Amino acid sequence: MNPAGREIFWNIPGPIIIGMYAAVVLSLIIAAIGFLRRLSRWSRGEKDQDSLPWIERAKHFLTYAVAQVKLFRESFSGIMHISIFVGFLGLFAATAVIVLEEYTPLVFLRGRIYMVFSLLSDLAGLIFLVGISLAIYRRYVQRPEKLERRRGDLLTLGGLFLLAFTGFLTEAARIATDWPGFEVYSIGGYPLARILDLILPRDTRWETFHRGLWLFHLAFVLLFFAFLPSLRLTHILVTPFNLLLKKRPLGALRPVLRLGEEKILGAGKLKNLSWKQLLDIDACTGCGRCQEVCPAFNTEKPLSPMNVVGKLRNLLSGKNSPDSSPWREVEEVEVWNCTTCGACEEACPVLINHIDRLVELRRYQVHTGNVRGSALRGLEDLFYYGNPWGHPPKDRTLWLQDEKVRILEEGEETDLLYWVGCAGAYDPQGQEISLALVKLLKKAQVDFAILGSKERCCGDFARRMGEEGLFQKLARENIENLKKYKFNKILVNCPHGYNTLKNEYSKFAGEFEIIHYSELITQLSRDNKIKLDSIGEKGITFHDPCYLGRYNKIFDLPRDIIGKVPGLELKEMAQNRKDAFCCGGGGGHVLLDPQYGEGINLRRFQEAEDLGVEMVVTACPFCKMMLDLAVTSRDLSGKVKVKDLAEVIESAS
Amino acid sequence: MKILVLVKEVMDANAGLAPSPDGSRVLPDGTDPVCRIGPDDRAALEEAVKIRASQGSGSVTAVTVGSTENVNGLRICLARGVDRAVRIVTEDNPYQDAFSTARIIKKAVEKLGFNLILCGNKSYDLGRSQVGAILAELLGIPQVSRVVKIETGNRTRVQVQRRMEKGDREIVECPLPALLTVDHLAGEPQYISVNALLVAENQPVESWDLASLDLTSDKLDQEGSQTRLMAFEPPRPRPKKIFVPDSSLSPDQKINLLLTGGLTQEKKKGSDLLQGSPDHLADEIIKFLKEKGIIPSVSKA
Ligand code: SF4
Ligand code: SF4
Repeated sequence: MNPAGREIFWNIPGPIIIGMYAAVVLSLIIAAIGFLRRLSRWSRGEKDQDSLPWIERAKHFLTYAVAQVKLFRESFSGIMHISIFVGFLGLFAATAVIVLEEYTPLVFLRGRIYMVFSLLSDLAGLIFLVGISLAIYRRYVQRPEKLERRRGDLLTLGGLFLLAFTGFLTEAARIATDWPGFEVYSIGGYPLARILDLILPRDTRWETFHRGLWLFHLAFVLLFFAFLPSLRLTHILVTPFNLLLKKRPLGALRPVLRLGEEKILGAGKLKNLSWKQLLDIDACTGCGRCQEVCPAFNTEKPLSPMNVVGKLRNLLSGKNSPDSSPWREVEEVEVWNCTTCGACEEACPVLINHIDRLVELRRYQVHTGNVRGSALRGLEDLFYYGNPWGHPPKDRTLWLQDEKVRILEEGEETDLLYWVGCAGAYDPQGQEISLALVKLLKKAQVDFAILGSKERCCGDFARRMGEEGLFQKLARENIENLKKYKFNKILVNCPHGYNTLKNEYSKFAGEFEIIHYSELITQLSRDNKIKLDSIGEKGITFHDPCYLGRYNKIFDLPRDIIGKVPGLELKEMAQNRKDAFCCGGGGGHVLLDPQYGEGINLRRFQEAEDLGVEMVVTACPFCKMMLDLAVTSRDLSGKVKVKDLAEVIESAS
Repeated sequence: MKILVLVKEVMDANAGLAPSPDGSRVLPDGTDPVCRIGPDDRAALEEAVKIRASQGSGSVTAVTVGSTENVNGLRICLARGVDRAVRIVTEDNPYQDAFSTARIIKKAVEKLGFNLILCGNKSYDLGRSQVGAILAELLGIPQVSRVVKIETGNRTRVQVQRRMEKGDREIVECPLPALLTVDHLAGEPQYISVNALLVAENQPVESWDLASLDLTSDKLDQEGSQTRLMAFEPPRPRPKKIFVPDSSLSPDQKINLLLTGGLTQEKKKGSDLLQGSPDHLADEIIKFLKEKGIIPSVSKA
């Protein structure tokens, strides 16, 4: 008996093989043209100065492209996708091996190796078919609401299914011609051959049948190549780049470098986005995960991050892109309804940045003067008075009431500089937090001081609203001012200020050591500087502020601190930590008039209410305001309290 | 159409200001001052730029009178898109009143030429609503005050809406050239970004001194000012009742009550309502003022 093995182009006459090569080259050229077209569109985008360290990018690639961990947050689609992915890679590897065998002097697909090869490649094919079948089931039987429907979806899935199936049929016909014994290892082709043998007439001419099927299979392979740069298939090519080239961490924004040169900033045309932001648009797979978690979408507001990407993608693949205006499709209300909570970016399996793009779109609106109502007032007041509520700068210390706190004078020194922030200085809810924190610092005998009326808004409000010039003005003023004083660290309680001072001022030569009070309290309690007693309440829950949690990954510290207060029993809301649902106050919304749908704060508070807790604890003045508002409108004042962690710890110490 | 916008650069009373020791003036208090134009002036600027846009041609020139210490006002005008900005430089002069300011502006606007002059109805600091009216009188052109809407379909006339009490509007038409004093209720202005202000920094602001208008400050002091500011007093803070809505009401009723501060309609007090032609009304008013001794009985020649 011959050793196991096979002739690669068995039963295919020479001219057809030549034709095949020509067709393959042609389809690859089509693919290359398609891909280059995309590339050229992306390259029309603006420069993108940000970058992430390569080690982090490599980690992204391994975690999200290779291991696809985010997909497994939903098991069905996780299994579906990994099957298609593994099957596809297996088939790709098998083809590569065959190419190696055919075009190099190496001869190794013989005997036992051939049998293992057959087994593995058929296994890959089967896994692939299962994956595709699951996908068809999901898209056309389960039909989850969130899945984006694109033209050509049926064509894509059907084509992929037939691609694999004709492969198996071709193999089966080859096996049925002379039934080589070793082919039982072809666990897909062999059983299929048996079935075909049963159902087809006795006098079937297997060789002709095989040749026909082979051509069919070839056609699907060619179509696959040709369509690779379009349809949903694009993501196979684009997503790995998207992951590798990621520019910014969650929620970070692209700084505008050339202020004062052109009057209009932001995305008036697609090409005003950065090339990476354009790449992001093409990398979206339309899986709907972002939309599913978006607080705006979930409360019937006219925003779905997926739809915004979808609209932009249509424009980008259409005529005159990237010169076309995003506003042909995207509506203003969509970009204003984002709270910059970051849930979408956290959920996106291909690490698409939504917030930086939405803010680029806001920038355009702001720089064409199209800001109204409370947004307009907030920005103007911020410009004139250094706080978005329009309070006089000299009133910045009124919150102190009779509390004595050192106000740092130029040249003076302190260990800890407490950054009070606008909410902490002017808003009654925020003032309660700053007062509690100050009392706590005094009890723990920490050497600290504040800037008093020399502090200005950190600029978060301006920046998220798209008023980059105002943000940079405030940032520069604050940084210049901070440099006049001597201190070791800046303590911040507002997560928005924390995020801005910690992650954004460094881009404007403001390198300071910033700590959040949860870090400080942990330290103080470790050093036995504060002792915690029970405070009466028992059942509480913790609401993760987006800018503390998702943005800065502080999830455990507040919970650990709560755990140190005797008697407190922490119950978690269904959506917590990185999946926490926004309070509705971010991205400037604490000041904007809500216009659509249910209040995000009401939705979030409902989760806490369902737990039956006595107190909702958070660590952000905006979250506190928003949730407290929810308590009032649910008429639960007196029954459920909303407190900042600093207040809880102060009353426990 | 050639439009002039008159703006007053003012120091914001909300920041950086305090009354001087003798109470006659308001001075910087050492913290960062805020220089801006008031909402009425801002509305005038907005209307001017909008008229130019709706006509598709013409020019807008912004004019201010004041020192060069704070230059935010004209920069705001440039950022909003005026074609030209002119500052008539005067020393900070405590005796300069609305009349002398109007006399300065008169010279300037005659030099500039115009079809339409827009200015704020009230300045943001003193709020006397005088310069516009006096200027129109000096120029001998019609003036309409408290304008909230301007239509310039025809280039020889304007039709405007005036703001009256309690939301009423009066529609007035007058021939051009004319002067309109605009009320901030004319509409929400466009936002002016910091970036636009930075761009405007590179645009020129023309500085004219008094000599170039054949004026001297001495002459203005002697002949120009009709009034003298004696003292300032900070307003007594009005006690504000904080309104707490009844918790049994529905949320939107509560919101409504909160927005109106829980106000219920107050009964109107009786007043002397004069009716008749403008001339008759003016006579009646002058008679009343003379009777009460508010103005001298001998009129100026
Ligand atoms: S950041 Fe939050 S609100 Fe904005 S699109 Fe993403 S999920 Fe929606
Ligand atoms: S942006 Fe990300 S999460 Fe949203 S649909 Fe596209 S791939 Fe899915």
